[in-house]
Order: sequence, then C-alpha cells, then structure tokens
Amino acid sequence: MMLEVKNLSHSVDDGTHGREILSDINLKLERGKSLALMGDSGSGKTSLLNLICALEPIQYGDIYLSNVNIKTLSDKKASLIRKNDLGIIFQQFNLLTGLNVKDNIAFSAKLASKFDQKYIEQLTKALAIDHLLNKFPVTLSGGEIQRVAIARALAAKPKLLLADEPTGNLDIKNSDSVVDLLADLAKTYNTALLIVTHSQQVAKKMDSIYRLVDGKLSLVNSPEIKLG
Amino acid sequence: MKQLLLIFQVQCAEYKQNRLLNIGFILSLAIATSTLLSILILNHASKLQYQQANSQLESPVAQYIVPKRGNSVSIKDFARLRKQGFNELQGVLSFRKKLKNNNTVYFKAIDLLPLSIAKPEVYHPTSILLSNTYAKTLKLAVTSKLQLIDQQTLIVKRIESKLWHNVALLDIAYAWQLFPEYTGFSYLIVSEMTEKRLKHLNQSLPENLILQQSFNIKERSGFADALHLNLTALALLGFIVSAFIAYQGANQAWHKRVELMSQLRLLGVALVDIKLALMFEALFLIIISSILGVILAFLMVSFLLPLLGFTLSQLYQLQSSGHFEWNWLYLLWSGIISSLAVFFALFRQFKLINTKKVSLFSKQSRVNLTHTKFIKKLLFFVALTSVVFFIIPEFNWHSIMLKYGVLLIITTALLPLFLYFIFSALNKFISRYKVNFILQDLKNQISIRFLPLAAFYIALTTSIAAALMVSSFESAFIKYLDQHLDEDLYIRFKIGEKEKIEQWLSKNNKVDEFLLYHDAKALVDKDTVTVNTVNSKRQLSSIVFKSQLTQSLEQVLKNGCFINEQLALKRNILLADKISLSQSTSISRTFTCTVSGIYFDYGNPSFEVTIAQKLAKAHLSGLKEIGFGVYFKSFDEKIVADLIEQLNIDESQLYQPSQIKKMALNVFKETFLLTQGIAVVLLSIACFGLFLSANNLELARKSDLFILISLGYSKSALFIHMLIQWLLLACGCILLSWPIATILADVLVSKVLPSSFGWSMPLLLETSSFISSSIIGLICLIPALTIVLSKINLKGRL
Repeated sequence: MMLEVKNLSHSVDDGTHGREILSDINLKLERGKSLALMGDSGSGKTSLLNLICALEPIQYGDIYLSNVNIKTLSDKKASLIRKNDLGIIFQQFNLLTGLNVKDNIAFSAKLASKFDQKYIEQLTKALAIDHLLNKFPVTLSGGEIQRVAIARALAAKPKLLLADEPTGNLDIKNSDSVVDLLADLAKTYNTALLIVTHSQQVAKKMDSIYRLVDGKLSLVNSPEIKLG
Repeated sequence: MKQLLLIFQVQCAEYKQNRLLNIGFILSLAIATSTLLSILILNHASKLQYQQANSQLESPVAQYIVPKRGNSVSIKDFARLRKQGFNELQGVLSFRKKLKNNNTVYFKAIDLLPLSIAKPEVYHPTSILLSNTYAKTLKLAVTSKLQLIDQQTLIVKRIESKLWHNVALLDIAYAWQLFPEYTGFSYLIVSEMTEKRLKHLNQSLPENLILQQSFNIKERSGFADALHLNLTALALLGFIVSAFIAYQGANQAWHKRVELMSQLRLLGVALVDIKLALMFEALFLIIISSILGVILAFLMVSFLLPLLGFTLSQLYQLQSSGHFEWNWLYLLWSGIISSLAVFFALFRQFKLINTKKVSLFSKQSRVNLTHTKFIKKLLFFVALTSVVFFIIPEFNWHSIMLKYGVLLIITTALLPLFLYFIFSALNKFISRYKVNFILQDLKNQISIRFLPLAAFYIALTTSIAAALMVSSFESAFIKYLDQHLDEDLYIRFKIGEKEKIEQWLSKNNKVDEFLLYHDAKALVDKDTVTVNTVNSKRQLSSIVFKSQLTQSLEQVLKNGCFINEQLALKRNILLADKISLSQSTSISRTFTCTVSGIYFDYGNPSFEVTIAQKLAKAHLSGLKEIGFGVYFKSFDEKIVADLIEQLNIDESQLYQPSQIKKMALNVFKETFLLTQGIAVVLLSIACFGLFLSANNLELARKSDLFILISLGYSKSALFIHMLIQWLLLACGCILLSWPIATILADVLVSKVLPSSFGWSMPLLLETSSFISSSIIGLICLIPALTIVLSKINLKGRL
C-alpha cells in the first residue's frame, strides 16, 4: 500500500477556539491507482494534502507512506520521503523564482539523484513547455507555470503524486491533456496519484472519487459504481 | 554535499533575482559595521593619543622655578640642583632683540640636543629655527638671514611648526655663544613630580629662587576628558543604532527567504541542510561585510581622524599625526560586529523555519497592536524595564548613561503604541474617506515597520540630544568666558616687580581700573581649595552664578563667601550653609563663612572659594599676590609693547584674556566638531536604514499597492499615499523624540557632566537643534519611495 490514512483528525486554532477540520479520516491508495478528492472550499482538502506530505504535524490518527508511519518521523526522514517518494503540485505552484524553467524542473530530480535528461525532454515536450526552458517563472503565464510545476513534480519519478487543483489555471483543452498525461504517467511508472479538484470532468478520469464534507470523508464513486 | 550545492545554486539565484534587496542588505550591514568600527577605531586611537598626550601634558611644565629678584637663574644654581638629583629640571632662556626693520624678535633657548637627535630634519643645535608664520609676523622676506639692529647677522632655518609659532628657537649653548651677554637661564621648568619630592625641591632651592605653579594645564585636561566621554558615549549609541540597522537589514533580506526555504522543504530538502546552507551564507555575508566594513571604516576614519588629531593638537599643542594606523584588532572587531548582527538575524530565521508545519508563504511579522496579548506583553516589558530604570543608581557617569539608555529603550518599545494612538486619534478627527483610508492602512503597517522606525527614532533622539548639549555648552561657555575673562590684560609679577608695575599702571592715563589678585590655599574638610579674593563690583560681576542668595553686596562682603560648583557638589554644600576654611601653617587658623552663592567654573577640576579681600587679609595666612587685572579705556597691542619695553618684564608674564578667550572657543569648537560629525554620521546611517526599509517594505507589499492601482489610483496618488504614510510615521517618531531628547540632553548637562567632571551647565533649548536633525530624516524618504514607485510601474502585476 502506497498511502494509508487511519483515523485521522485535525483541528486548527482560529485565535479564540479550536475548530475540527478533519474528522476520523480513513483512506487507502495503492501504487498505479488514482484518486480524486473533492469538496467545497474550506472543507479541509489542502490540509489533508499537507498532512500526507508531512508538512504539518499529525495531531490524531496515523498516515502511512510505503508502510512507514510518518507521524513519528524526524524532519530528516520526512524530507527523505518527500524527496524520493513524493511529487507535489500545489495550488501556488511554488516554483523557485531565481531559477529558470530548465533548472526548476531538474532541481527535484537532481535532489533525489534521479536526473534523466531524456525523460525530462519527453516530459517537457508532452507538457508543451520545451520552448520555455530558458525563461524565468516571472515571465510565464499562469497556465505555463502550472505545467512547469507538473513537469517538476514528475521529473523525479515519484511513487506518490499529490496534486492540489493542478488544472485550476488551465483551459478545458489543456486541462484534459494534462490530466490524461498525469493518469498515463501514473500507470506507466506505477505511481499512485491523488488529485484534489473541484472539476467533475477531472474526477471522472480517476479510479476512485472521495468527497470531504464538514471534515468527514466519504467514498462517492468507486470504479464499480463508475462502470455501472 | 550534492544537496548543499543545489541549495547554494538556489541561494545564488536568489541574490541575482533580488539584487537591490540583497545588495542593500550587504551594504547596510557593511555600513553598520563600518560605523561602529570607525567609532571604535577613533576611540581606540584617541585612547592611545590621550595616553601620549596626557604624559606630555603632565610632564613638561608642572612648576616653574623663577628668580626672586633680577631676571636670571645662574648656571651654578641649576648645576647644584641637578647634582642633588633633580633631573626633572630644564633651563629656559628667553630674551628679545630688535631687528633692523624695527620689529622685535623673541628668542627662546632650550636644550635642543634631544630634539635634534629625534627629529634631525627639523631641529639642529647650531641653527636658529624660525617658523614661517613667525617670519611673516616679523615682516621678514624669504631669506635665511636675520639682521639685528646692531648689524649682527644670524643664519636661520625655516620650519613648519605650530608649537614654535611665535618664537625664534635655538639651542641654549648656542644662545650663550651667540649672545655672550646672557650667562644663565630666565627660569627653570619642572616636570610633574610627587608632592613629597616637590616639597623636597622647594626646601633645596637657594634663597634667590622660588617655585611657581604652572597655569592652564589641568583645565585643558577637563576638555580632553569631555571629548573622550563624548566619543565613548557615541560609541555606545553607535552600537545600538548600527545593531538595529544591521538586524533590520538582515531581517528584511531574509524575510522572503522563509518562503524559499519552505519550498525547498516541500521538495524534500532536510531542515538541517537548509540550516547548514544558511550558516554558510551567513559566513559569506560576514566575510564580505567585514571587508566592506573595514574599507568603509578606513574611508570614514581617514576623514575623522585628522579632526581628532587637530582637536588633540588644540588641546595639548600635541603634534598628532592624525593618520590611520592599521591594527589587526580592527578586523577582529569588524568580524564580531557583523557576526553579531548576522547571527542574531539568522537565529530569528531559524526560529521561523524551525517548525514542523511548513508554511508555503512568508508572513510579515504583523502584530495586532490592540490585541490584549500584545499589550500585556508590552506592558510587562515596560514595567520590567521601568523597574530596572528606577533601581539603577546614579553613582557615576557610566551608570547614569546606562540608566537613561534604559529610558530610551522603554520609549522605543512604546513607540509603536504611541504611533498607533496618535493615528487613531487623528482618524477620529478627520472625516475625509481617503485620508481615513491612509491612516487605517498606516495603522496596520506600524508593526512591520517598527525596526527601521526604531533605528531612526534612536538615532534622531541621540542626535538631537548631542546637538542640544553642544549648543548649551557653547552658549554657557561663551557667557562664562565673556564674564570671566573681561579684563583687557592680566599681568603676573615676580617678587620685586609689583611696585614698579603698580606705579606704571597708576600713572598711565589709558588705564581705567586695575585690580590686585590674591590667592591662598586652605582646607574645607579634607579638600584643598584655592581661595580667591574680590574687592570690586567689577570683579564680582565677572562671576557667573548658578544660584545665589538675595543679599546686598555689603552683606556678602561682610561675612559671605562664594564657592564653585565643583566644591558644592563634592561636599554637598547648599546656599546659606556655613563652611569652615582651615589652614595649618605655623599657627592653625579657621575661618567660617556663609555660602552666599555657587558659581559655574567649567573645565576646572579643582575646588575654589571666593571671599572679600578684606576678609581674606584678616583671617587667612599665606595670601599671595599673584597679579594685576587691568581694564583700559582703549586697549591695543602698543600698550603691551610699551609695558615690556618700559618695565623690562618678560612677555610670558602678560596674558590677554581676549586671546585666551579666542583660543578657548577655538579649542571648544574643535572639541565638539568631532562629536557633531559622528552624530550626523549616525543619523545619516539611520536615514540610510530608513531609505532601505522604505524601499524594501513597500516592495514587499507591491501586490497590495498594485491592487490600489487596479482600483483607480493614479501613480501620483499612490506616491502621495506612500509618502504621506512614511512622513506621518517619521513625524510621529520626531514627536516622541523631542521630549525624550530634551530629557537626555538635560541628563547630559546636569547629571553626566557633574558626575564625570564635577561641573554642570544650564540646558539651552535651541530650536535649530531640533529642526535641523529632524529635516534630514524626512528628506531621505523621497528618493526611497520614488524607486519603489518606478518598480511598481515597471513590473507591477497582480
């Protein structure tokens, strides 16, 4: 099992009192499978993603990545997992503004010692950003930045790809091709894919769909239901 | 290692990306380092020069040995004293000769051998040395000859010397050889020696010789101490201002770095590697800013050190080289200063990134100033520091400075709250929406702008306090000199000369009034005091009183006395107290008088009591007649020449108070020029810090400002918006700095000076001191905001 979330609960302090945003969450995702996480704004989707990436400390429950409980990991070990096993595409893209597109994409691959020039060339061609390699993030449009962020996340061939609204800045045509690409790559490299999205279109392309409502997670569509 | 190299690549890219921000940071760090370093170097250099100067100050002339009668000390007497082991004695022969052009040249002959060995390029034992200035005074053409009226021609060597600017200098043996009519010395000079040894010397003197104390020296040491105190105090203030600016620079430059570091963590870089990379970056910064700091400090010191040298030469007639001498300690200091600032900022950075939760956005450390938690914390800090303020005793000037330094810190801590409340009050009175929006936006910005504002506030407050102290000193000193040195001429006489001088003065119709000065030594408790006498209204009016009893002159002269402030402070004597002057000569005597007035006596480290001449004659023994103070109806240089010519007295016995006054004021100006210079440098650096901060902070909220543009603000309206906000903040700082600077200046003149030197002066609140310092701060904001606006125009995007 690539990802397993067990009885996860999480609260945030809004200054006056604590508010539970995730309540008793249970989730499993195997390698080569994809999962869409849907929910209204503020329902806790991004917080769940942050917890899975070990970017926030886990308060209650456990999260296992490749059967390793990340709750008790030191920062060094959590960093090692993020570096070697995770690919992250966040809403805010988080490109390194000082580096050009080429260096941004190569950065995480080099960090994980998985730099493969040929593979990166394929990726940039597939994402139609091969003409932007020498440009800096500040000169790119929102859609271009998003595609660079996707390329960077995929460059290190992660075991689990986490994407928070990866198509939010893309038009329908581009959105479809990017999601198809993500799904294909996940299959090709036996990568588990977890996408947070508002789009039904995107969600439908995943193997399973979960919905977060008031901090509670429910399976709304399994492959069986989808096929049916 | 590979990871580290990748992080370095990102860090380098960051420097390329935000050039202005990072260069500004390195520069502000280097400037802060160099400011502090140059003050430390100046302080260090001055300390070394003071040691040298003080030894020179004390050694040459502590006492004179003069003949009781006649004009010379014989070689035999000199030899006898030297044989007894008094090697501190040196003979001086001074005489004058008429030149062919009818001018009179003054010769001074001393033992030139040691000087000719030390500085053979200047001094020579068989030449007459004449400074160019003096040659000009004597109206001598550019020639190497001196033609006397008796046809004697002397070979002279021209020299550049401030020390020997009004005499023709020659070796004493050469003088005897050239002018055989002189066979001895005019007087002997005695270096500093212990009281016991001095007593022994006094007892060993032959009948015809007498010891006479030298003048002025100790008063000069008062000025030197004042200068040194100023430098030390400025070094402390410089440290605070520089530390603030460097910390603020580091804080701002690294603020965006939190975001970058979070991104790296997101990509899987371990915190420990990030910290390591930051440490390397910090080391790089320390090395760069230390080197830059040393270079800048070198430039600054090259400008300020000659000022220091000049000041010292004014104070001591010391030929100070005033050039920069490298000391390896300076690099160490520089490294320590940069390290402190960089690591202090770095630890804050570590604190920000050292969380389990990885925040993907750098948050400005915005504090809600009205939040109860913040107010409680602030009040706790203020209460704690107030307790510290009240418990620090005022036992010496260091503790007083420390105590009022704490007051400055308390007010600095209260600055954001003060600004918040004045802008809230303004908000209530103004109904225009646009102005209210500016104020509302401003109130939200106070906490993130706190550091630069605090640095500006501290620099401004100290600069105003220094300016107030200098102007108070200047006005008090001028008043003092005007009253104290109001005679036209002061004539010191040797034994046997009094009568002929008195006769000359009585007969000369140009003389308006002349007064005979006496003094005696006595004890007040255990302190030795000099007792001066007064016997005319004119003399009384020359005393500058700090406080006095409302009594008629007759009453005061009957049984009252005046004491100088130094004695009042030392013995805690108040007006109307009774003091006893005791003398233990052959018969033990005690005279008790009522203190009718306490007078200012700036720069004098000794204690003085002034009583009516009649009282002194009746109750004190050992009263010495020391000289005449003369008021002329119209005074000119010809009177001096006539006096010397007709009474055959030495020029060194005549003092022109106007010249002493001029010299004292010159010394004073040079003394505080350095203080003012450094205060201006400090303020300029704080303004540079304000400039950088205005630039960086406005750039940091570029997106907010761009929203205003998108909502219809024109470029000029946006500029006015930013300018008004910064001006209001600066004005708020100025508003708080004025009363605090007044308190600090008052502490300097009424507490620090008495505590360190024993004398105080009244505080003069001069408007120009407030205004000039404040305007400099405001001017520097305009270019800073213009840069920001141009950046928003070029690269603005939502």
